[in-house]
Amino acid sequence: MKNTILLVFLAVAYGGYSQNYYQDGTTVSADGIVYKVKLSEASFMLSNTADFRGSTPFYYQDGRELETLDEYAMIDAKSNNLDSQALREALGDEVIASLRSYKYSPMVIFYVVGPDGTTLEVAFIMKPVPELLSLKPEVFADLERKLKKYVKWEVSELGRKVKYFHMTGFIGFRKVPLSSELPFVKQIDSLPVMEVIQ
Amino acid sequence: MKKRFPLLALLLALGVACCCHSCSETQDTPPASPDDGSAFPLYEIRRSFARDYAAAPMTRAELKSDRTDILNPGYIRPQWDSVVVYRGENLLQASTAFDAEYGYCVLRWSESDSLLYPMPKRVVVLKDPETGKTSSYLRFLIPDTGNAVSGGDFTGLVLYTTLSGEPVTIGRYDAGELSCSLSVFDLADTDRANVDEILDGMENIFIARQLSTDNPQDLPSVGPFPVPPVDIIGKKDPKITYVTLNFLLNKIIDFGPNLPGIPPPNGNIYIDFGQGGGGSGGSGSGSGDKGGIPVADKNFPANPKIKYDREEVREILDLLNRDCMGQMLINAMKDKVTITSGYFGSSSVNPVTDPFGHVIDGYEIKMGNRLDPITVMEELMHVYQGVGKAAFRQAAINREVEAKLTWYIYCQTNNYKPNFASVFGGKEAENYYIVMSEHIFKNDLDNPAFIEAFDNAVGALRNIRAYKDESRYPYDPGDMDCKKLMELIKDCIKE
Repeated sequence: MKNTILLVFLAVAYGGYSQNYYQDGTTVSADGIVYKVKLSEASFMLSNTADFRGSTPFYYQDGRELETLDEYAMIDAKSNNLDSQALREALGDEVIASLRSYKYSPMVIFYVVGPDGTTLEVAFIMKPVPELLSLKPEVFADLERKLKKYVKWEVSELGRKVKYFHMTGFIGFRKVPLSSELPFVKQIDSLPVMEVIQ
Repeated sequence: MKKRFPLLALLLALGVACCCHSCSETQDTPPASPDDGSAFPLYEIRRSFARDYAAAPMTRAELKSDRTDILNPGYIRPQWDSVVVYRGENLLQASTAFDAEYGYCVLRWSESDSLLYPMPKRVVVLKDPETGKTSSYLRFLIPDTGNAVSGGDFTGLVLYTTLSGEPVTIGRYDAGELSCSLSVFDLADTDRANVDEILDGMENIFIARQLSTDNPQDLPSVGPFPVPPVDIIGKKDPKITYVTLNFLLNKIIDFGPNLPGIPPPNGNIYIDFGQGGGGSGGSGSGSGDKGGIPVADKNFPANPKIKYDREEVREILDLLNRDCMGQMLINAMKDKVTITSGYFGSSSVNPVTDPFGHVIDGYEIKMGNRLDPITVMEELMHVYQGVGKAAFRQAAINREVEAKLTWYIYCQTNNYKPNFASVFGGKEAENYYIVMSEHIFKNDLDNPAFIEAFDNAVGALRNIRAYKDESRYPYDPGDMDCKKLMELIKDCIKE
């Protein structure tokens, strides 16, 4: 009986993962966001078609173009690391646990950051693994919104002088805590919200 | 050369009779006010210098035995982390000490003694804030006595040259006040008596240049010290070359029509005496404590060929050494590699070469604003790729892509969590690196998808202006095999 239940569970899980919403060169829509799909044997990329700041060069706020590598090197930012929270809320523990099995990180999040440290645009650059291909566009739309809401940046001096710039990073899913792994959840009595301390 | 000297002296006499001097005049006398750098930021200073340096006729540096070129410094490496910016009424001035191929001293002869004195030198970048024009010079201080080079009471001569060492302006200062000057910019203003006054004080002043590639410590930053056995040029293995200052002034008269856009300032406030202006110069290895410049004096135990300065660098090396590919890269450093940190702007790696381009003392890595594993890895990779060699230069943009791909793979294999500034040329470009890394993992570099991604990655890098120059960053479409990266990774991806 236990084996039967397990087989049914695996079949359902496989069925879920085998659903592919994405075809190369097409677009998918979810909750008002339209994603352009790039899919190949080696990569899977979703980028919001409304975004327009995803390429270089960068420009100062007065319109001048950055010229030297020194200028580019002096643009930097440090995030508040709340991408983990966005990932956990949007993807869920099950997907995160599954993505942990990959030896090499299967996901990069590409950010366009404003001079004030807000996240202006987000794109997902991934490997075409079943767990990610099987996620509905709504999941990515939700993730995008949450990343824009949670992830803020402490911007370097020169970064504050440009119109926008790019940050990126691999997602180490083994370092994204599942709900059960959150080290400490503290109730702030005076506020009606939970503060997650990671 | 000796035969030319009387002729040049005659030219000097004729020259001074009809040109080029002003006395007790200042071209720009703004109040002294150190600037916070916002009006002349470092990146703009570096860019202006780089433009002027690129235009300087460096071929003259090959004429090592030519006394007329004695102030030609050869290569110049400004110490960008100690730039001082001054704001005047009409000009902004940035200056800093620099390392050069040669060291300079003032050689003073007397009946009983011959001594070498420090001759502080700085690179000066000027900007006219109204027009945006910039010009770069070298500035040499020739103190009247020994080490009297401090504060605002300088007494002696201030000599400006082009970046190729061609004298442009010389001024005499007494207790910090400009008294006389002689300048190629004042050809119409002639007063022979005052010129003589300047020249009279220079008869016993000799400028000595050392071929300093052997030992940068040969010329100490404090003096005086006895003249080592002086080997006159033309003799075997010369160590010191010298000429009189009078002789050099011929160059002012002979300068020619190609004047820089902005004259050197001869006002009092511009003679700053910032740290690092000592006269040792001629480093060639970048070692030695020069005004707070970090010194790579610790050996990395896993590969003692690598020397580093700070604990932060050591921590990064330790981190890389814990990774399979990082360890392979560290072990692949067969020549000396010195890593110093704390510089502004981007990081750089350069071979330490003799004047003919031969690597003589390994490689110098200078870490800029980003001191992190991926940047250190990129610079080490450039060493492994053979930076400075012809094969590297002929496909420089290929090497850039390969080096970035190296640390991109390191990030994947290590779940490198911190976000980093994207340097590939945009989000599409990031996709190319994902594609390339997948094919690297599969050792499938002949796959058309890999070749297309590599080609596109080069195109994306060209979006950044610094990589647009195809002569500086040539692309070889036939050189995409990432041979060095594959050497590092081949045993690691089997794990």
